[in-house]
Amino acid sequence: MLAPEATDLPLRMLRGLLLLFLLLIGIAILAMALITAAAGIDHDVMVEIAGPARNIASTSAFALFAAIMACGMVLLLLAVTFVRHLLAILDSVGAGDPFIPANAKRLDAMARTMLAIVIGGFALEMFARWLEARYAFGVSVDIGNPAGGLMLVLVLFVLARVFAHGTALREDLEGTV
Amino acid sequence: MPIRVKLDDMLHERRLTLSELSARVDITLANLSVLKTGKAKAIRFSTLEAICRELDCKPGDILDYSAED
Repeated sequence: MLAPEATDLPLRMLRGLLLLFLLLIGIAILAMALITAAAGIDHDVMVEIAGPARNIASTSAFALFAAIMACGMVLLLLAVTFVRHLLAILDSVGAGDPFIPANAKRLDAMARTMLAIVIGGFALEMFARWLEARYAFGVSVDIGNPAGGLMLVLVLFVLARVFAHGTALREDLEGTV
Repeated sequence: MPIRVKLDDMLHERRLTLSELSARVDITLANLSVLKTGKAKAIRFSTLEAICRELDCKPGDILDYSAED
């Protein structure tokens, strides 16, 4: 919920964008679930999406297809967790006091989540490529260059440390006259 | 806490109120009140110096240490 003090426009716009992002992720998860279900019900749908698999039984091909989709959905759920932490930090800015230990923990959790997304995404892409090479089974997974994600992980870990130290220093100063 | 603040005693001895001291040392009444009631976690040397200057006393006249029971 938007804190009542959060009346400043850039903050509201950022919050709106993050909520839009959450909505898009939600739609993507729903679409992936529907596609997987449709592919399970009608084999032709799967052939339409992934192409005709070679050297593998259709039930096994579907299992692999469903596994890739499930992994993709898990990665998207991790992205939801990431954005929710970011929203909570933004709300603490709106509430007037972002320099709290909870935000240091949130940044740390965001770094770990992003690390899981980068590693998981990379592994998923490698798995999809292997499937395509072996069974001509074209589930295209393109996560992009993991270097950018890894840099973000490092930045988040550093910021988490800075926040943790900063809030500890502030606690020290409280009660000093 | 084993550190006891004796500001109240010194003020009484010097016939000064906390508000008067606050005006003289340029420290807010709220902060001096925190110090006087023993709720402060730390005291800056600059605060201690200003109080000692205005009350014409030593830090030991304001702060006391006794081991906890």
